[in-house]
Amino acid sequence: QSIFLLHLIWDKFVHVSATLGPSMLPTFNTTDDWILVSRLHTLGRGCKVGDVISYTHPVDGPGVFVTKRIIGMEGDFVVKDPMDGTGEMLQVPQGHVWTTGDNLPHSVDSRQYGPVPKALIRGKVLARVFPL
Amino acid sequence: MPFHFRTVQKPVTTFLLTLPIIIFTKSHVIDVARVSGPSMSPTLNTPPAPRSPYPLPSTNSHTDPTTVLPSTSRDFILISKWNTAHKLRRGQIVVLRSPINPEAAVVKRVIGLEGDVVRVKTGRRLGWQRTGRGGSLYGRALMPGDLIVVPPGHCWVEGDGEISRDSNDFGAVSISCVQGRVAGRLFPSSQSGILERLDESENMIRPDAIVKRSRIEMPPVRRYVPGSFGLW
Repeated sequence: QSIFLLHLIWDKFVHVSATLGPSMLPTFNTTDDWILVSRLHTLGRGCKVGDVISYTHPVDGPGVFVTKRIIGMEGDFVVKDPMDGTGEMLQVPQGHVWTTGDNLPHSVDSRQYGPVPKALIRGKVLARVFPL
Repeated sequence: MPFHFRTVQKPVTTFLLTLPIIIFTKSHVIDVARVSGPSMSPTLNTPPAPRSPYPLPSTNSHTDPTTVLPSTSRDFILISKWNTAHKLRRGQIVVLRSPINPEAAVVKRVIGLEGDVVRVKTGRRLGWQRTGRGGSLYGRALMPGDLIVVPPGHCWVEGDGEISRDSNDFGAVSISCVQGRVAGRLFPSSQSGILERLDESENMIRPDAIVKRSRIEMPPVRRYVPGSFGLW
């Protein structure tokens, strides 16, 4: 019974998760950073531009989670890839957000797989809990 | 008073302790839901026999509550949520979170898996005005008759009914949006027994939908391999 209660808290309120990868430097380190994710912000409730969010990878399936920063909400116009020099823009469709990592050259994000449906958002990253 | 508190306390605490189990089961194992809208007629929500020449209006649209749609019965379905995203098959009826409205869950049929080439339905009745790009990965609005390659990790879903907001409007849907598979209809049931199984064979897919099948039969399970940083 305590397992289910823990699962309830983990799923509905907050949980702690590890980060992996260089795409959010210098905000998060490459490995061994533990972040606090607020599950009250699932499905993109209360998330706005500039928030760091945790979402399920749209291509790699339900088990893989991604931590990136929201650059544009639905209806906003975003630059598709600031690094490719064309300055081509697009409008984020209804129900989606546009995300990029803080470390642009080493990040796989919306620039590669397109706008992320808000249905995939698992929560908002509140803080880093370890190392402090 | 301590005596009264103790007689009330036990059922209350039992209820509170079973609540997480119920919530876990409901969100990860099995669930019951009521379907609204005509997008899966006549498989689910059969329209009533017409008693008047004018269709009865009802407002049930998951993106725009002011849309008026023909009225139908509202069926109860049983949803199996355990491990469904990895076992998707063409023809299955699934429950997924709508990519255009994350708070709404929609019931549709899987038409194509990743790598399939699907043809956008011609002659749709309900159009939808999108702002900018439609779908996650396409650069322009989907026109009837377009051939679309379903991207990796996505699926193409369509409703059985004539009026349906589905992949023909919002493009291929990420498999992670799929919440569960419809195991069957609970009520109203025309067969004996509690659960009425629905036809989930590929015969229910419209003939011109899949132009080319990919060799991948089920979405592969991709696991992250630690150490393979590269582009992460």
